[in-house]
Amino acid sequence: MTDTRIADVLKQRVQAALQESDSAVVPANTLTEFPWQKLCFQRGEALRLTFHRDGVETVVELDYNEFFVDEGYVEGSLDGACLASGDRVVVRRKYPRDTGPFEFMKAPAAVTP
Amino acid sequence: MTTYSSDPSELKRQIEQEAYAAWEEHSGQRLGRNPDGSFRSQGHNNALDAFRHAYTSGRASQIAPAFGDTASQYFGDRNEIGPAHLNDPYEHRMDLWNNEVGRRIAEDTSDPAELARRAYAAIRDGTAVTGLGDARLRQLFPDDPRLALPEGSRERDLLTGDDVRRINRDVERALDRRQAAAFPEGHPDRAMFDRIRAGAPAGASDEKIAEVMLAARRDGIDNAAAIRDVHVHEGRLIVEGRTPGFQGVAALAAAPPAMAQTVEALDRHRYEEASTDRQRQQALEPQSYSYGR
Repeated sequence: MTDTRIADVLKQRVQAALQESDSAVVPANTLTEFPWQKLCFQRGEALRLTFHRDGVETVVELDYNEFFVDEGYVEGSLDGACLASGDRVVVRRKYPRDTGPFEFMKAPAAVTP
Repeated sequence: MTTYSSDPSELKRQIEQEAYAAWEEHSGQRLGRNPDGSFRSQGHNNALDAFRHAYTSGRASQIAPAFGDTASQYFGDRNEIGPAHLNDPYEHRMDLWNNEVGRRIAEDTSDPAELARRAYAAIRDGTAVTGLGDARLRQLFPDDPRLALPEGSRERDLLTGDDVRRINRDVERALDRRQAAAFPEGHPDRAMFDRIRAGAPAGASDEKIAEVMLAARRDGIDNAAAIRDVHVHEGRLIVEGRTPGFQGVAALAAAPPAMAQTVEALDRHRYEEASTDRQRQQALEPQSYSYGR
């Protein structure tokens, strides 16, 4: 599965979750079309998502123009954090009513160390 | 001796961890930890944020000779440019201001402990910017057309390299002006100045501290050891002497005299005190008389 395919599906599913609203809380495992056990977020030159599935890591690098996670010191940031498959995640439009980027944030009590 | 990673993001993490440890040491505040004992990322648009920017930028400058431009770029301007760094325009300005504070300290010292001490002093004495309400941020690239855009728009939050250069130019000018208003390091009253600074509210300018010190000196408090207490009461900064009734007072809201003017007055006062002491000494010395036959 290519980065582009994963990013496209991610975008479609975030858009579907948001519909006309600016923010939604969704089960993290509904954002992909493949199963995984752990998903980690890391800011760098690109936004890096690492999916852990059955001992195999799949790394996807996303464009900040499309997807956004804030600096780690910002309240609710997922930078450096991981989600378990059953966790919920906040997806929101970084700018209300705007077309992008979509931002991922911690849902209350959703993050595993 | 720390061994730094050549991977920029790991290097950034290492230096930020140093910054958090230094903050704990100087502030006495216990910071949040991750389960592995490392410091959690924390501090946003506050004093800790200002310290982290000043320290990391300064430390990156200190170690830059070993890392080429990578370190200083990673911690400096690049952290504000492009879609990875969508922030309120005044947040960008605050970060760039505090980065420059750190770089200036690093021009004087290669010692990380000294960098941390002086970066913390910059928080205490108001050199660093510790909140988005600081009026100095409004003087940085004030004709930036994005500032007129409504809050919550992407265009308002996105900076280019050219924007950063224009903001940095104004930061440098403002800090140059501030350095001219700083109390001189080697001045004979430096210990007394530092004693008053330690008790004064964070953000009080050097010029205000010097003003109240001059008032205290004129009221007979002539050195740091003669100070019993420094406190604020009803908007006035008060230096209490160990001798009851001796004090220096300055209204915090009033504009202080220029530093050069206060330093001149302090020097004149010291000269007059020394003259008076000499005259008093001479008056106490036994008179010698010669008797002629």
